[in-house]
Amino acid sequence: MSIADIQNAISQSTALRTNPGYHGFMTIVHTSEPLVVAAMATNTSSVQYGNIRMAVGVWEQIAQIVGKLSAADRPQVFQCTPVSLMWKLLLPAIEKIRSAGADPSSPTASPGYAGNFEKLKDEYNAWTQTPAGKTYSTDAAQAVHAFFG
Amino acid sequence: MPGTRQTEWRSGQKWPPLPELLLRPFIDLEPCGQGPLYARGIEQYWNALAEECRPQFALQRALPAIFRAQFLSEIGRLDDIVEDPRQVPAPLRSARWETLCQAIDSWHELSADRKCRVVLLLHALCFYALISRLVFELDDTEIAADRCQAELAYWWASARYMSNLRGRAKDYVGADMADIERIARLGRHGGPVAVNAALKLLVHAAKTGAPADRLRGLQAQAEQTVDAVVAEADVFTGRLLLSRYYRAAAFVPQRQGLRADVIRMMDLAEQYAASLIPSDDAQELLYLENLHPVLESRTKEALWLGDLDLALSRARSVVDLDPYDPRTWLELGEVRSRRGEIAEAAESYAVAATLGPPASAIARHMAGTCYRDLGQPMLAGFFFKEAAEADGRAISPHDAIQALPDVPVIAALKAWSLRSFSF
Repeated sequence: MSIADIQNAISQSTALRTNPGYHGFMTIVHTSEPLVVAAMATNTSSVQYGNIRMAVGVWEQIAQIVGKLSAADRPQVFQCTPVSLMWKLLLPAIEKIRSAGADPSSPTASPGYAGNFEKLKDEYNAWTQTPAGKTYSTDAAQAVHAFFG
Repeated sequence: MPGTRQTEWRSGQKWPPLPELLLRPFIDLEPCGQGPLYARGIEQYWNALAEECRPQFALQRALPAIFRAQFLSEIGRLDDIVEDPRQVPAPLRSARWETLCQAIDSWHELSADRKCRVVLLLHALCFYALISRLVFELDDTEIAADRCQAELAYWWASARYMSNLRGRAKDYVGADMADIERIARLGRHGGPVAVNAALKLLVHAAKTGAPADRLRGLQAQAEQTVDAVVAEADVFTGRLLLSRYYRAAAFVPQRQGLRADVIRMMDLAEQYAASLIPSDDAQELLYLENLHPVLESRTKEALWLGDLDLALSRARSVVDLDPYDPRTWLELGEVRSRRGEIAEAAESYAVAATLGPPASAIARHMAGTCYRDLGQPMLAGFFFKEAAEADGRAISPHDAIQALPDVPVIAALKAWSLRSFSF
């Protein structure tokens, strides 16, 4: 993979995360208690349910974009993407959808719902335990880095 | 009215935060009593602009573009976060700042030498985008004909390089080095600026993982230029350039794993650095500012060689040399941490955090990791929270907070973190 591929992945992920519809809804999720976030995923005919599906869908897309990069290149995306925090924020709703079923016309549970997102979160968490992952990460470019060299 | 800040400070109504005292020259070009070498250097850039009988002045270190906004934002001086010094409201300008603004206003009437002095000061203050707008691309003939034009072209290219640098230099693989290559090709005709360009090419290539053959080629080019320029330079400049050359050239044997050659080259870099005999304040600063990266590189060299005692001794030397630069304390913290001296590492990181930008958030976070590893999660939580508050777009401290043990007080911190990170 080239630098251009990595930059492209970061740019696509950023575009998804800064989409006004997504960002507006996430502002509500961000300030809501976990129980409220879970409740957003209960009424399948509500606007909030649609929004939750959209938000999780964004992270499924990000997972697929990052998944196309080689394992060696993915950390560059991880350095500026709060994967684990977003998973934790959306988890109450994801669990609700998994247990109720992701297909509103069928009551069958969907344990694989948001599977790509979860896999990305696991990979991110594993990366944070590596020496590179233990350096300071921020969505902003920093003027100094934790480790020199 | 110029000098308002000074009046305000002296009135005792508001005493500025510590980072503002240490980095004051970046705000109004007035000197700082105590501060990191790169901040104290601003005084010499100013002197070279104010008194053209002095030689031009340039330190080696170029600060990241984001540094200026980060520092001003942290101390709450939002009016000073501008892309052009002339955008600072007139009542807030010092007399020196006003002089700089007037020089920029009359840019087209300035001589090439004075333009260089203005650009050097703007470069030191991190006004890289403005330099890109003021200096137009010069063609090869203009650059080759006049060393002042070559200087201008170099600092223009350097400003563009710094403007586009995000994150770590090792990840800056896509940098456009064409303009710096043009200046390096001037060789001895370019004088010291050609050495600057040749060394920048070599260091950039080494840090971004260029093949060993490419590194050897760039080293040969730099060596040829340095030899020619040193032969014509005064003793101080010659030794300074040689010290810089050997430090950069050590990347080549390091890439090949040749330990003895790395040590030999770094010994030479340090010997030349130590042999400099400054004759005035400006040269004194150049001497110290060169010793800083030499000793810093020697610390990295000791780590690379696996000699942690030597690394500690050298990291302490850098702190002694430049005690108000938070980066030196961060590096001491890293060495302490690698030695397993976690409590001492935490103290070093805490000092860096106290000194402030650009280390404020990182140093707090690193102190937090130390306390976490020492089994003090409450103290760790405090530092992680402080880091998250210092950097509104931080990820690591929030991740670290989420990973702390599940106890009631920390549960509240975790809930706060999940509601406050930048999504």
